[in-house]
This record gives sequence, structure tokens and C-alpha cells, in this order.
Amino acid sequence: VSSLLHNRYVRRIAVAIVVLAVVDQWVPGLLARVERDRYESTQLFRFENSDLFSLGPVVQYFREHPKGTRPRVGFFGDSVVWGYFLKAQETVPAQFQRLEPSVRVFNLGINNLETGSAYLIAKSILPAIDFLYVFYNGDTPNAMLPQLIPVEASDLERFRLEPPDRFEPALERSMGFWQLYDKSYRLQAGLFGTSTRLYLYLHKADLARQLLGRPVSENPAPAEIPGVDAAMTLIGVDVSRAPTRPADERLQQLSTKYSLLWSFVELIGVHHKQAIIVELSGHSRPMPDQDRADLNALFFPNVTFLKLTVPVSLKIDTLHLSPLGSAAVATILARQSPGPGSAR
Amino acid sequence: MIFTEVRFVLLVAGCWISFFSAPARFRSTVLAAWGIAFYVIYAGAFAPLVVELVIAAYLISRGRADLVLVGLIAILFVDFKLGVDVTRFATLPASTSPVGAVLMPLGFSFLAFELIHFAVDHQRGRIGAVRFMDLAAFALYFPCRIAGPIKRYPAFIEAVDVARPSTQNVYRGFVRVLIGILKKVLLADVLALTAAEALYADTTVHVWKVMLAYSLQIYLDFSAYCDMAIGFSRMLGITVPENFNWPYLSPNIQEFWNRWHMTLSGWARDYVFTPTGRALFKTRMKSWPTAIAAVAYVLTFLVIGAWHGLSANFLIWGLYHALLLIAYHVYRTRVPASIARSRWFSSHAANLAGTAATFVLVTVGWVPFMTDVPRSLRLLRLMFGGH
Repeated sequence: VSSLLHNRYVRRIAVAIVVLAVVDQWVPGLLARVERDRYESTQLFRFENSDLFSLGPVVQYFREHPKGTRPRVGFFGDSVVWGYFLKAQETVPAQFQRLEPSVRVFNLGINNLETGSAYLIAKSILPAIDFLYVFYNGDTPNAMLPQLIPVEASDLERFRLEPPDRFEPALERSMGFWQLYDKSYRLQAGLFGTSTRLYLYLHKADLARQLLGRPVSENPAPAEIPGVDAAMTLIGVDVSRAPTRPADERLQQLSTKYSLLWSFVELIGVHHKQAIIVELSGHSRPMPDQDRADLNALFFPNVTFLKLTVPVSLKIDTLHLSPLGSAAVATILARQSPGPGSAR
Repeated sequence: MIFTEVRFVLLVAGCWISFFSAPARFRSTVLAAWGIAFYVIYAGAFAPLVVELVIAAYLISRGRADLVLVGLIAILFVDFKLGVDVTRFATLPASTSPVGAVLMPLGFSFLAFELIHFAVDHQRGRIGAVRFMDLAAFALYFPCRIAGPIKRYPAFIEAVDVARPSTQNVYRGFVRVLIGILKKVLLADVLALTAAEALYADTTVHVWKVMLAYSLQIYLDFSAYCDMAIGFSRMLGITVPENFNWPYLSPNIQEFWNRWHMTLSGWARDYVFTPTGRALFKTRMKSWPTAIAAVAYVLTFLVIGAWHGLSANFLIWGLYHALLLIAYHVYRTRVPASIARSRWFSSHAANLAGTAATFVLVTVGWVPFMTDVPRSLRLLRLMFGGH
């Protein structure tokens, strides 16, 4: 032991281990703080970059914290929900948050994510979400999801997804005693809302300004956008409901035709949650009006199927909403009944 | 990144313990066994093929090329009967790393060049009697299987023989691995995001910014992988060759190739450039040494380009560097002695100008390396003021 202690390399390794062990003690506290700030505070929530990096940590957080400080509203969808081309405060979920300050809104939109993915994500976190807005756009789940969130074997089979690698995660779990390693993804997601490298890339100008001691631009809170009432009149809203419950044969037909949505709605029912499935013109696969009316007759008030026909003047391109379009859509959703208020 | 996976670290730990626990004569066997374990874990489908290649190289070194031929036919027959696609390499997913093209499947390009070196040097009599396990340890040595460096058999076997466990090696190896990880994660991966803007960059300034980022990224990315391979080897007490020596500080293109991917350029020099030059000096071309150098450069750099990937853009990149080297060769041999001896030629300013010019030329050369020919042309047009 004496000769080992006289070896400077052994001493350096020992010092490094002691430093890591000391730093490790702070990790759980730091993680709790950054996650609370990101997921429970009043700051807007959307993924810093519209990719899958932070999805796993968010899902883990929801599974560990099924009850938040306020009722939780989740917006599921792709770049339309995330708000491509828009500042965080201009997106539909952010404008919705402005209109409904008593709930905590989560913008869970990720580029190219179809409703198949939203179904699997919702399935893994549904006890933690009180009200869902699902922008319907397709049934195929992202092939990466099983690597990131818990996906049941039956869903792997149903969606023909590759099962996740079990070996490396099991080894990683065995390293759980080293908190800094074990929690590194969650720490990055909590601190930056994305991976460290993307954060550095996205904020390089701000970081440079900070280094030079110059003021850094900050995203203001979402503000009311002038002209929303007029814009709303341009949007066609269809929540029609058939007067009677469809016959069994029709039920069979609808459950086959919309098998994913059907499963989604059943899932929402099992968890006693509420949702609005939003069809956006030019974005969703068009659903015949009669189908929507029958589905509403079946599932209202737990689930509402809502069609929004948004004119091109309220869009940036054929797909994405403009700031005014987003504000108008958010206002329509906030006024829709039942809304998150009923979940409360 | 394989190097930071727990299973890879466990592989290194297991290898370290067994390497130093085993009697010296079994060290090669230990390294070969861990090399096979590495292939089984990371590329199970290719493990038999890799072992077959090592056996084939060994049989060739024993003068049994006939057995190799029979073996290859048998393999093809079995593959055919099993319905295995023997060209399956092409179906592997491409890596997002710029060095990805040469890594798949798990450093096959590196393995191939090491086995060619072994076969040629053995035939030239530079490698004496070979034990199968030594060759297997050399070929399957897993820290260098991911991104090189390209080893030489005699130096590797000697390094294995003299390897001793030491805390200094473990410490210095660990620090080198750490440097590699930080270089990759904090620098190369961040620069990669700027380089990815090439998809939509549409102004001259933007394209130059993208190419500058790519130039730095490819160096940092590749050298980071090499740092990790060298670091893990150092932990085992095995010295493997360095691959980069501040290449972007080279004052000319020839110096650049003496400092960039040194084990590849050394391999190409020994097995393509020099033999080509020698062969041409025995022909009627011997009166034109510059022409011989030009042909040798073109051939060598086409091989280097093809090694990175058998597609037009890599061949164009190779050809571009061959032309730069030929131009430099002509410049060096033709510049009058009176000018070459002038104070300006040895001044810091000239050195700085040469370094800057070399960097810019190399950066322009990365354009066809980065993307396919049509996109390269678009980027080059934009770089030089076109639309």
C-alpha cells in the first residue's frame, strides 16, 4: 500500500475517483432541481430541438412523477405542433398555455412524429397526463422509439418494430451506482432541453455574447397576437356528432378503418383521461365527415374528433401555421368543450 | 460511439486482466480471443468471415495458396446454399461520422490493408516465421479495429512482447481516451451540426463556413477515434502508431500527407507509390522522373480514394490530392536554386502563407469527400462566387 501511495499515477487516479465520488453526491439534487425547473415551472415547455433526444428523459420523469404541481396538458404531433419556423412563444401549445395558465402545457411535438408514435408515448406516460391534444397525421411509429421509451411486446409486434437492445442497457443499469453516468441523459435534457452538443450549436451566439459580457436575447412570455378574433372566423371548425350511436356493424367498420385511433381512444378511456383529436387541413389524412360524426357520437365527451380547416393565409407553407394561425388555433382549442378545465 | 459503451469498457477490462495474467507465450492467444469476442458482440454476422480472412492470410504465408482457393470456393458454396448475401457489406447502415465510410463493417478497410501489408512483407522476406496466434492477435486486435491506426505486424508483435502492466500506462492511456472522448463529443460532434448545413447553404460565405466546420470536424472526429484506440492500447502497454501530427499546420501538401492519417499514407507509400515508381523506372519512362512521380501519385491516391469508398466522389478527392502533389512536386523540382535559397523562402511569413494555402486547398478538397458529385459541384460553384 505504501509503495502504491508513492506512485504518482496511483495518487492521481485516486484523486480523480475521490473528485468523481464527491461530485456524484450532488447529482440527484441537481437533477431534481433542473427537472423541476424544466417540467414544473412557468417557463414554456417544448423540446429545445425538434428531435428525439429529450423524449426518453421526459418519459422517465413523467413515469416517476405521475402528479405535477398543476394539471398537465400534452400536445402530441410533429413539426406543426413543435412550431417549425416559429419562436417557442408563438406555437399553438404556447398560446394555449397563455390562455390556460392554470394548467401545465407540454409541447411534445417532434419533427416527423406520426400519431403512431404519439400512441406509444402516451401509453407509457398516460397516468401523468390529464388532457391530450393529438394532431392526427398518420399511424406509423418512429422505429427508434423502443430504444428510448418502454414499448410493450404486443406493440413491437403490432407495429413491426425492432425490439430494443437489452444487453447494453442492462450493463448501463449495473453502473447505476455512478449517478453522473447513469443520469447523464436526464441531466442534459433537464439542463439544456436537448443534447449538450445541440445546445452548444443552437446557442453558440448567445454563449459567445455571454463570454464577452454582452446581453443575451431571451424568449419573452407568449403575448396576445392582434387579429386573432378575425383569424378565427377564417378557420372552419367541425365537431359534428351523429344523433345516434352507430350500429355494431358500423362500429366494426370504424374500428378496422381507424385501428390506431381506436386503440388510442380506448387507452384514453381506460385511464379515464380526456382528449381532442385534431385534424388539420393539409396535414392530416382526410377523414370523411360521417366517420367523424359517428366517432364523436361514440366517444364524446371523453374524446372529441375535431376538424380544423385553416386557410393558406394563416400558414407559412402548405403545412405549418403562422404565428397568427397558431394563436387562432390555440384559441379555438381553448374554447372547445370539454377542455382541460373539465379534467381539473 | 462504441468506445464509450459499457460492454466495450468491460471488454478492455477483461482483456487487460487476462492479458497480464496469462503466461507471456499465451498473450497473442488472449488478444485473438478478445478480438473474436469483440466481433461476436458488435458484428456477429461478420466474425466467421474475418476469421476466414485471417486463416487465408496465414495459409498464404505458409505457401498454401491452393488451400485458400479451395477454402474460398467452399465458403462461397456454403454462403450460396444458406442463402447468405456475400455482398452484404453494402447493406450495412452508413455511419453519420465522416469516417464512417471506412469503418463499416467494423473497420474492414483497416483489416484488409493490414493483411495486405502482412502478405506482401512476408513474401518480400521482411517477416520471418509466423505463429498463427500472433497473426490472429495482430489482425483481430480490437482497439484498432474501429478506426485504425493501420498497424505493422513486426512492430505490433514486438509491442505485445514488451508490454508490461504499469499504473503509468493505465493512467496515460486513460487520459488519452478521455481526450479523445472530449474531442469527439464537445468539438467534432458540435462542428458536425454546422457541417450539416451544407444541405441548405446557399451563399458563398455560408458554404465556406460549412466547409471550415467540416474540415475541422473530420480531423477532430478521426483523430479522436485514434486517440481512443491509442489510449486503450496504452493501457495494455501496447504501443500502436500515431495517426495525426497537427496536419493543418503543414506548410505544403506533401507535408500534409506526412502528417494526416500517417499510417494510411505510409501504407500507400510502401505498397503502391514506391513499387509503382520502381516498376516505371524499369520502363522507357525512366528519362522522365516527373512523369513517373505523376503516375505514381495518381495511382496511389486513386487507391487511397477507393479505400474510403468505391464511389466517384472519393476517387475525385483522391485525384485532386494527386494533382496537388504533382503540382507541388513540379514546383519543388523546377524552382531555381537561387530563389529557393532566398530569405523569403525560409521566412516565417512564407511558412505561414504556405500553411494557410495548404489548409484552404485541403478544405476545398473535402467538398467531394463530404458529399456526392452533383452536390459537390453545387457547393464548389457557391464557394467560388457562382450561384
